[in-house]
This record gives sequence, structure tokens and C-alpha cells, in this order.
Amino acid sequence: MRLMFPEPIGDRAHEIDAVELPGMVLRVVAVEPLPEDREAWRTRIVGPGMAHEIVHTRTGWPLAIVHRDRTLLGFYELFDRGVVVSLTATDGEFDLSGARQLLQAADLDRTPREVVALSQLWQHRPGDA
Amino acid sequence: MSEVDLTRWSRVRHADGSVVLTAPAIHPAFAANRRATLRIRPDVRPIATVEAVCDGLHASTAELRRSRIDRSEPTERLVTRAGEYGAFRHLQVTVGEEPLNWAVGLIAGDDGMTVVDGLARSPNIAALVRDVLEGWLWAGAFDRIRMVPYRPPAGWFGVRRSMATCWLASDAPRDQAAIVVCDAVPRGPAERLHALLWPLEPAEHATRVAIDGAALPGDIATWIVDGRIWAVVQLADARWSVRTALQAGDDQHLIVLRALVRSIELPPAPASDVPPGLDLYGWMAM
Repeated sequence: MRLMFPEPIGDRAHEIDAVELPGMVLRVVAVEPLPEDREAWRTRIVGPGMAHEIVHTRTGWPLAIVHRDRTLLGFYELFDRGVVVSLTATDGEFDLSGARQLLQAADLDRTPREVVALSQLWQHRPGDA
Repeated sequence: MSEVDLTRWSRVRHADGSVVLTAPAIHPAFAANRRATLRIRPDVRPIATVEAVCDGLHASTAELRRSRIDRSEPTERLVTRAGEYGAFRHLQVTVGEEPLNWAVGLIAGDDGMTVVDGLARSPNIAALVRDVLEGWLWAGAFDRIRMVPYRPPAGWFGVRRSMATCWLASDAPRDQAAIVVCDAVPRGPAERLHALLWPLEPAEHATRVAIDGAALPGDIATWIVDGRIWAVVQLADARWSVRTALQAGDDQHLIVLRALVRSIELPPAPASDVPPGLDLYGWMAM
């Protein structure tokens, strides 16, 4: 599975909410305008004093990873949106490496889902005559 | 509004807010063996292309589901008499062995649209649908803050935000360039309202260069903040103002911004007989 964030994600977070994966469950914890104070953002979600690691997704989106008990949280900075997802172990040993790879493989889904410019109204789809 | 008198058409209102009108049994243009129908669907969300609207209506209408559609006719751009933008398409469909004319159009609003479609044997249904669309009037049509036509930057990904569309570079997020195209704002108090959401004021020390080739006079103001280039362009006429901005790591995308700005069209003036309607922003001037 590859985690793809739809756009606009605010209206579509349910599309990726509570996905059952082998040995873990993925949940969308928060979708909000990207907070200016990233540390306060993480504290608000996971509480104070939690260690975090700043990395990037494979395609380059900034990502902070926090490990708490049997949960790995990813704080994504997607343009002007802050998105938090959690991966929680459901049984057996937590596949931390697999969870990290899944978080870092995430990307913004660029499939056009809505009209964002008037010129698109009178455009033809590829394949139309 | 309409050159075709709809007053004698029967009408049925449906739970989804749509209204279906059916032509009188004896009608010079639309009777024949089949009674023409006209559907009006206000407040359909989100705004979609005519292609997507056709697909949706085709799938949800029993008669059309059984039809074959000739999609060779192009989608046309449409402007209402109040200056709102939309799109229109006249399609040939075959239901069983019966060739029919199916006209589909929409008018784009803030985050929804009005969809009108008509089905009839007569090709006159296209003119009727177009007539209804061109006469469509929202309460705020006269000075509603609205999207304007322009050529989006090729390969960039657009995301719609409140009263603006943001374009991310094709190589985002590695390339962190972004272009904001604000909606057209009526001159006056509404500009102050819009500036609260999109404070795109050029820095005092910005360098200003005229935009050559733009349909409207304007200049591009550029300056640097923390090593990143900022550029803001404001195009305006007596009624409307459109602001566009670029933020990028270097100046290579200025050419993209210039091309986009050159293609911007401001909303047309309403027809002289269209009433001004509500003064949406007058309260802000008090």
C-alpha cells in the first residue's frame, strides 16, 4: 500500500481514514492549516517532551516522525496543510521499519478531482474527440 | 430571458432541488413524438467539467443510460448576461433507434454550479438550454468575487483555496515555487476584505517592471526575502482587480508568471438590462 493524500485533503481525509494493514492500522489524526510553530503542533498532538526525527518523504515533503509506544506518528507538511497520521501495531511485534517506509513513501495525490481554474471547464479530457 | 416561452411547460420539483420541465404536448418546436425535457439543477457541488457532468447525468438518467453518445461536438465557453462564466455542449445521442439532441451546460459559482440540460428530438433544445444558462442570475452575480479565465501553467498542480487558486511547481515539493492566482475582486471595499485573506502587497523596495503583452496595464513588482524571490502583479480595470503572486527559489519561474498574467481576462461587464442586484460589499464602506 502507498499512502496518497488526496487534494483537497480537508474534505477527503475519510478516504484514507482507519486503513487496516498487516499488523497495524493507519489513522488520520489531524488535518489543519500548517501551523507556524511546528514544535507546538507536535506537543498539542502527542504531548510534551516526545523525541522526534525530521526527515523527508521520498518525493521531498517535510516529515517529522514521533515514536510513542506501539504507535508511529507522521507530521506531514504538505504545502499549506499540516497532516498527522498514526500507524499503530495491532498484534505481535511492531514492524517499525515497515511503518517508517510506509510513512516516507507517502505523497500528494495529484489526480485532478475538482475544477481549480475556469479554463478547465471547457477543456476536453484526453481521448475525447 | 428566454426566447422560448416556458410558462406552459409542466414542471416537477425533485428532492435534490432540481426542477424538470416538460414541453406541452402541442408545441411548434418540441412536441413531435417525444416531449422535450429541460432539467435545471441549482447548487451542484463541487464545480466540475461539462465532461464530468455529462458522465454523471448519463449514469444517473435511466433513458440516457441506454443511449449511445456522440462526443464529437466540442465544449464551448459560455458567459451569462450578468458576466458569469460557464460551459456548454450539444451532443447527439441515440436511444434505441431514436436520434436525440442532448444539450448540457453549467454556470460556475463560488464552490458550486448550476447545471441545465435538455433532451429533445429537435436541435432547438440547444438554443433553449443556452438561453436559460445565459439568463441565469445569482443574487450576487453583479459583483461576486469570482474565478477568472487564464491559461494555467503547464504541468503545475492547482489546489483551490478560499478566493484563490494556488499552483505548485511540476517538481514540487523539491521545487518549492508556488503561484497564487486570486479571484477577481470588485473594486472598492471588497478589495480590503480580500486582502485580509491574501495580503500580497509588494515590498516598498520592490523593483517594478511593466508586463508587456498583457491585455490590461500592470507591472510586476519583485523583491527578495530570505533568498527567495517574491513577485506580485495586479491587473485592474474600472470594475475589477486581480492579483497574482509568485514565490520561488530563483527567477526562472518569472517567465511562467508573466505568461500566466498575460492570459488573464477580467470579468465582462453585465448586459445593460441586467439589474445590479445586491450591493454585497457596501456594508464594509460604512
